[in-house]
Amino acid sequence: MRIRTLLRVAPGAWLAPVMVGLLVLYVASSITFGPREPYGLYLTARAMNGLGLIVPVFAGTAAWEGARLVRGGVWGLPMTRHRIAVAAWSFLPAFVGGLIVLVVTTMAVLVPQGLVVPDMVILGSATVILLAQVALGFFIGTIAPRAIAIPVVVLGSFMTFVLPRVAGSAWLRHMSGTTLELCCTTDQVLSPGVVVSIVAISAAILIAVAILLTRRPRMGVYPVVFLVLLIVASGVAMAAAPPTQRPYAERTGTADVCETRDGVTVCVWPEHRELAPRVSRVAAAAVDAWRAAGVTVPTTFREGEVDKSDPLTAGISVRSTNSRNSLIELLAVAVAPHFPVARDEPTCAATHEWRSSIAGPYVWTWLATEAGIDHQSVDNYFGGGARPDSDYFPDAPKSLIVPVLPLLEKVWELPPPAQATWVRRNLRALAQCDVLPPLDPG
Amino acid sequence: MAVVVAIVALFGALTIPFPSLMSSELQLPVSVIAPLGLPIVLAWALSSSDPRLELGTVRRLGALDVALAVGWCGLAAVTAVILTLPGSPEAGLIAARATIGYVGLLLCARWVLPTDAAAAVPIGYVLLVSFLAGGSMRSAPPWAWAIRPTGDMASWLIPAMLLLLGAIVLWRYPGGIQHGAT
Repeated sequence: MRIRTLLRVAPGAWLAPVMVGLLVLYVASSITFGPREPYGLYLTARAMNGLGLIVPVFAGTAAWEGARLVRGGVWGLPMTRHRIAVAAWSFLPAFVGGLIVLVVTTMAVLVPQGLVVPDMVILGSATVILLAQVALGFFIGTIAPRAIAIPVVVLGSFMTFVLPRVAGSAWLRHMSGTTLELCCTTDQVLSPGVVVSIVAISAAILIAVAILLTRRPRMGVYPVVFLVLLIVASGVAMAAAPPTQRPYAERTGTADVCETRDGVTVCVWPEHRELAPRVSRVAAAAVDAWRAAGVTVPTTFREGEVDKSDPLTAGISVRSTNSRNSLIELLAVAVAPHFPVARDEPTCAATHEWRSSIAGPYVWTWLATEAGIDHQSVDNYFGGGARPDSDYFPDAPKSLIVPVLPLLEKVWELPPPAQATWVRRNLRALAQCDVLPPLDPG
Repeated sequence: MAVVVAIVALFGALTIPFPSLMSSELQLPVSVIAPLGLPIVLAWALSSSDPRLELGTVRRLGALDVALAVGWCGLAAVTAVILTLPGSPEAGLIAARATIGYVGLLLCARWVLPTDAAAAVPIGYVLLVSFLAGGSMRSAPPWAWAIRPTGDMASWLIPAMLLLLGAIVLWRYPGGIQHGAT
């Protein structure tokens, strides 16, 4: 069929401009709810919010195309070209229309953030999902009456995007790619297992559609073919990305945008370049306060991978939304790591129970207060006490809450050198895992 | 119809998050979504007629079609209300109103669209409501009657008007608007 004819008769081609406007508005409004960082992976993933509308609409137009071939009597005729080629040409406008809307929507999210390169893995995964559901829509259009096929495809496809948010079914998440939306803060990358799962489920749908379009078996065979392929693909998907596994992995590499101020170096990811001066200013002031109190702390704070054997370097993860208070919190956690807020456990935690982590809230509060955090933040965290982590204290009752501030009041009554000694001892204990920290200031 | 009513009776009060332009999402009850099944099946039934053949009949098929659409819609609405009375009567009322409105939208859409494409209109309406009606059902504008509180009279009047208008269209053009083979 000529391109002009395709554009003239295909509803997918007519709907594309309308969808672009609606989707750009929707995705632009949804992105205001998250942090605004020029991280290509995160922004591309946010643009995938629109997938839940793009796919159903264009799958519906593909169903229309399928139904039209049947209604025109063409689908039942002997064909010189392969049936899949005929089908592909027929649903091509729906697929291309959806792809154009997807790309334009993604660019509408990326462009306002500067020259950010979209993540091709996420875009590729979304394209595979679109192709699979458009092909499925076309197939349903060829077997069901048009009055039923189009609404069922639109509604059914839409539900595959909506239901995972309620039911949390893993294969539905992979089928619709809603997992992609959960990706990724600046220190994370998309887990390869998620991509494998999405491709496996989409490939199963495409293979099933291809078989059924070519063979045209009896109606009762259709669900069997789909079921067998979906079970196999679900097995692959579950093995690659178990439902309990997070859809992202730690970003590898070392942050290389560094800023040094008063002997304190802060290194951040390139996406946080603009934050570096503010973070280094807060870090320099905090380190200065801790040194003045007599506590030796790291002088380099770095995003990304950190050499844990280097006592003068600590790991941090900053956000564009961090206030001065939350930056002090991050720096104090980096110096006094404790579960569950620690970015890095000490090396010994891999082989030992990290029982000394109970000292974390106390040392953290002392450090944060010394660095000038406001009392409200301290109160918000530990005003009601701290709960021992069940991983390290499996015997502790779930209701147990250890008071933090009463003990610290006693520490603050000590002379400054004694306070510094108390902090040093507990910091040492935190790094040794299986020792009980000397929390008692007496 | 039985499936739709059963879904409403069992899960009608459950809510599902839908995308919204006005907030991150809008929680829509199942009793707003499930009745979409009725206009789909009704569109199928109406589109399976042969308009040319029916033009020459002596029986008043237009009136019979109207009786089918309105009667079926009424039966579904009443059954939904009765079945949800012991558990969640609000869900039954929402489903009844949605059924009336969606069937009305379908019948009106047959004025401008082929019958077998007209069922996409109620679905498009629900998506539009989800996108533009705001972050909560309580603050929804009058045009989003499907999700307005059931105590609001206007939210019943609009679907009733749609059904009335749709019934007139169906009676006047029983075969729907005639299109080419597209």
